[in-house]
Amino acid sequence: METGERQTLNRRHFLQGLSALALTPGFLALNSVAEAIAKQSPGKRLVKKGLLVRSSRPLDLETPVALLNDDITPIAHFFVRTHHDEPALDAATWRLSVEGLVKNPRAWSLAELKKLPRHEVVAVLQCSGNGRAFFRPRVPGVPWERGAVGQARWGGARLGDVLKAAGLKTEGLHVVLQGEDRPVLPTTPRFGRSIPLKKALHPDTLLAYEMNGEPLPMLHGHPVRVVVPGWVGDDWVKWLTTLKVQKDPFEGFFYQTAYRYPKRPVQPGDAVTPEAMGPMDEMVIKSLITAPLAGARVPRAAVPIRGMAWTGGEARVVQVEISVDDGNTWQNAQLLDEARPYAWRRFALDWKPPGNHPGGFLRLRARATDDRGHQQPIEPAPWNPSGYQWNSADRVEVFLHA
Amino acid sequence: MPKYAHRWTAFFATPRPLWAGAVLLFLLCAVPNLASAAPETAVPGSFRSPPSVQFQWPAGAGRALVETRCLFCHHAELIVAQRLTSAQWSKEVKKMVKWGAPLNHSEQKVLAAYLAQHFGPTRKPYAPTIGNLEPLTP
Repeated sequence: METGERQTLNRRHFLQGLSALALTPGFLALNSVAEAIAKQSPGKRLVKKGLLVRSSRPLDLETPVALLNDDITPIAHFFVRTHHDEPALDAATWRLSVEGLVKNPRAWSLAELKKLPRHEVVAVLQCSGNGRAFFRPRVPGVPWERGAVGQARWGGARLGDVLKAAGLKTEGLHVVLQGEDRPVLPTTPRFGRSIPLKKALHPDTLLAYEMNGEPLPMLHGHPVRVVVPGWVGDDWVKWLTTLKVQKDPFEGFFYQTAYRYPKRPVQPGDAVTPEAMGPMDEMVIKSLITAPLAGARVPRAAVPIRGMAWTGGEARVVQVEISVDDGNTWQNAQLLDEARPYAWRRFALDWKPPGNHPGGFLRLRARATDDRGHQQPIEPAPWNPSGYQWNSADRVEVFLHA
Repeated sequence: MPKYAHRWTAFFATPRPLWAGAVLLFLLCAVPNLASAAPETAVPGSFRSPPSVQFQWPAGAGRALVETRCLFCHHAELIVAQRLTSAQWSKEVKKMVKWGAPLNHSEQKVLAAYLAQHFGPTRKPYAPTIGNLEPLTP
C-alpha cells in the first residue's frame, strides 16, 4: 500500500473528525465521529474501526453504542479488553499444554485440536466492568460505559473433549486457564483464571479457534481462546497456552484479588474485606438501548426504540419492558429472536407519543427479565468496590419536539 | 523486527487545541515512518503497537514521576480517564509500587498528591478518543 495514500486518508479522517466535533456538543460528537469514520472506509478492512480508546496500551477499546446494531457484532466493531501487551503467536508452532491432575499430560497443536468435533456457540461476551463509569461513589478501573459487550459466533473444540482425552484424576476440581500475554515487568502479576471442572466439562464451553467464521483474530486471542458462555468475560482467557487441572482455584492475583464481588450487599463506598468477597461467574440480567441514541431529537410521529437484552448462566430472556417516563410506567417490547441461553435477544417497540404529550426531554428505560425471575433494577446497580456487573435498567435521554 | 504487523491511527475527540495540535503533528511526522516499516507476519487481525498518547501533563512535582515511572508499562489514558479521591489514588500508587513501579516513599506521596490534584472526582469527565487499527498488509 502507498504511504502517501495512507497519509492523506489519515489527515482526511482526522480533519473530518474535528469538523464533526465542531458541529455537535459533548458526547454526541463521539457517535458522529464514529459514523463519519465508518462511512469513509467502504471496503477497507480495518482491524478495528471507530472504537473508543479506553487505553492505548494495554489495548482497551469500547464499542460506541451507535455501532452495536447487529445481531452478530462484526469483528471490526467488537470491543477489546487486554491486561498485558498482546502476544503475536504463530498458529503453526502454537502448542496447548494440558497438565496437572491428569493421567496423560500432553501438548496439542492447532491441527490436532481441529481434528476434534467442531462445535459452535452464539454467545455474548461482556467485560464484567462494563458500566463501571456509572457507579457512585466512583471506583478505580477502566471507566467502561455501555459498550464493553458484543455477540459473536464462536467455533472450536470442546474444552471437555481435551480434558477427557487427558484422563482426569478424581482429585481435580478446577481448571487453570493461562494465556501467553505477559506483563512488562516480572513483578507485575500475569493474567490468568480458573473455572470449576463442572463448567469446563460443559458441552458449550469451548477452545475457540474461530470468531464469526474467521480464524480467531490476534486481538481476540489468536490462535485459541476459551469461550465460557453465560459467564463474565474475565474467564474467556485469550492466547491460551496452558490448561492445568488442580484441586484448588487459581492462586494468582486476577482470581484471588481482582474480579471479586461482595458475597453480601454492601453500602456504596463501604470498605469490603477480602474475606467478604468471592469470585464472579455468571453474568447478570441486562439490556442495552441502541436506538434512539443518547441526546437524539426524536420525531413526534413514532419513536422506534431498539436494543438487546441478555442474561447469565443458561437462563433465557423472557421479557423486555420499555418506559418513556424514567420508570414510572412500562409497556412490553416485542422480542425479535428466539429465547436461547448465552445469546442476546433483540427487542423493538415503536412508541407513538400521545397527541397531548407536552414534549421535551424524555428518559427512556429498558428493563429485562429472565426465566429465573431475575429482573434489572430501576435504581443504580448494587455498588461494589471494583465496579462490576452494572445492570441498572438501561437509560437514554432524548428530546421530543413539543 | 517489529513484533506487531499493523498500524494504529487515532482521532482525538477532545476539544483541546493543544491535543489537536499534538496529534496533527504526530500524524504528519510519525505516521509516514510507521507506514514505511516492513510488514511481517500473517497473524489474523494483528496490528502495530499504538504510539504513546500525546497527553499534555499539568505542570507540577509529579509530572516527571508519571512520565518516567508509570508510562513505560501503560499509556496515559489509564491515569487521566480516572476521577478518584486522594485516598483512592494513594491506594492505586501503592498497588503499582507492589507491581514494580520504581518509586521511593517520598516519591509515592508526591505522585499520589499530584494525581489527586489533577484527576479528582470533581474534574469534568474524560472524553476518550476514537481509534482505528489498520492492518499493514492490504
